[in-house]
Amino acid sequence: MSARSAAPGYALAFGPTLGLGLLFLVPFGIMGVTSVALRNPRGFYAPGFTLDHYERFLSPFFGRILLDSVLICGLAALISVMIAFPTTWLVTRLSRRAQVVFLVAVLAVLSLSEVIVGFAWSKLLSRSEGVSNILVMLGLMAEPAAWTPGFAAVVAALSYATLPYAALVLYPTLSRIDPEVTEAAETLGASPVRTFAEIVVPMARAPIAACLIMAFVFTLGAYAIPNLLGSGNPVRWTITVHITDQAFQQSNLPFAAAMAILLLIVTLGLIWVTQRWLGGGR
Amino acid sequence: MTDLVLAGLRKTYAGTTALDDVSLTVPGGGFTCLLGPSGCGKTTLLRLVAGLERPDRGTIRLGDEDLTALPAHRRGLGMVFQSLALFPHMSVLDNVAYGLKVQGIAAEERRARGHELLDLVQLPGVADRQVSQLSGGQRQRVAIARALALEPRLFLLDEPLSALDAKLREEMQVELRQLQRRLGVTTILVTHDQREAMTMADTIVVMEEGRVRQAGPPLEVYRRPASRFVADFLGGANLIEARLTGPRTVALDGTTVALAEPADIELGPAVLSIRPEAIDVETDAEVGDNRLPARVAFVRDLGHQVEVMLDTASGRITALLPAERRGTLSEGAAVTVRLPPDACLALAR
Repeated sequence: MSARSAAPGYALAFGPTLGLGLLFLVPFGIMGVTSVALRNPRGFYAPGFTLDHYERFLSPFFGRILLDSVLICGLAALISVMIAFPTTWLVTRLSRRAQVVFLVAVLAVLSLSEVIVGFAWSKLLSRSEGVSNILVMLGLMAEPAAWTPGFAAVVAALSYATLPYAALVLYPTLSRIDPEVTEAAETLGASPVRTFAEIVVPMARAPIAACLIMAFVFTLGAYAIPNLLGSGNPVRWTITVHITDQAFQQSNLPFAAAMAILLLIVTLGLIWVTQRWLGGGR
Repeated sequence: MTDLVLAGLRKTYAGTTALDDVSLTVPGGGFTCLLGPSGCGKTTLLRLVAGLERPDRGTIRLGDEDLTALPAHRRGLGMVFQSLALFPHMSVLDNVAYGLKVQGIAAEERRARGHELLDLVQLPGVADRQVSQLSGGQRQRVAIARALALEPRLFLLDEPLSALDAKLREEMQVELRQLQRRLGVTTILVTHDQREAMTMADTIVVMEEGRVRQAGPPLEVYRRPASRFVADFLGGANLIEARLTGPRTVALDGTTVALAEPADIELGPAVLSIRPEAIDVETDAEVGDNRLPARVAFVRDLGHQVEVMLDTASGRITALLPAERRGTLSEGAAVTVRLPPDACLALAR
């Protein structure tokens, strides 16, 4: 019985495994080979083996870029989860109808491409047309200021772009928390704020960890926003932009491949740490 | 002990009335059961007392204190929820002692009190376990211990035993009643199970359609139901369509039934209510006052009792007889049903 049902199981897994192999492992293998190839400044690259590209990355300049990227994306992930979590929690306590309106709004934001979000924020933070003009009108500022390009602009736009994803990742778990659990805390004397901090947040540890990882990886992969809002100062670009820059502007594919692989290693390391730290528990 | 006084409570949800002008005094130190079918408003009433819902109108007073506007976390109550609502991320001890933690009591004292509470609900040795490792009955006890941790002024239970199997449920009913007597805490329990209410309550409050239909000691409500609904819901009385022809006489099809006490309803169409166990079935009696000719339709042996379904000119009547009467009754036999005057009640139709 089990032998008979196991065979079609393997057969079923064969297709997806093959697909995954072809679409993921093969390109990854090509990237690995490329990262140790010899650079040909005037053309493409020549097959060979060198660790020069990895070595080049271990310089203060690129180290700083990696650190900045992790900082920008980590901060953006944190901000978006910190906004998405309480908001989604409150929404799951509303009526079905209100929840549907919220989900539709979230999906609407989701339909905006990263490019549109990036341009919108670059307008919003610009000197000529941005929100600083409103603050000047209200007398809160002396003269309009340009808040882009810069670190804060990239973080703000990335947080915004991740927000709907974070809300959608958190929604299923939060909507399943039994309202009686928080009511129980309240009858035991805990105020709503205390109930949120001591009951809701700890109960949602695992989805919070998942959401942080998702937001972090998503923002690390973002290209348009850091390119649009971080430009003018190469250091404020995230590593994704540098990889693209190396690959297309500098025609240095091996170095771009090496950077991508190092980014993958660092990302996996950070995910592992987050999992251990937040997702574990029980 | 201070009484809980509910006055003129009204609650509507999006147009539907959940509670309609409920006034009730819950005696201090007693065990009160809110009993009724689902949707009768009993859980809403409990949630209003807990402060988890606000009434549209009316007041909730505990002694001299007006609780109406007080949020749940300032009311000093203990509540056991239908889903138990234990905190899944905490150990058993942390669950039980959570109320103490909120009060700012030091960790060591919390631990000591937590163990005391677990002993109180007869659940020693599980303090450091996770909630998910406990059985249904054990979780029940944890929820009770947690609700009692702060020595609440009111102990509220919302159908807490409904998830347990029948045998465990009956054990818990007795245990909960004994615990409540020992602590003397004013307790309100919501249930739809009349047996549960009869087992535990000092006062039964029967509710229907957002209103209190009758409140009183269990036996009084059982013996003297105030309405057709209460008679039917509590113990499933026989309800026979009849006419009240005098203060103490009810006319059935072909028979007159005398009542021991005068009915307090108007003459005219009425319902004769009689408990199955109060009915006598005779095999060789003459038909006369308080006696109906009947035919045995079905006999169900319950072991300790025999349930006999009888067809009469006024419809089907169910009688519960002692087990030893089993041999005298066979299906299809012609018998006489005797309705003792002191067990008959005339209620409004």
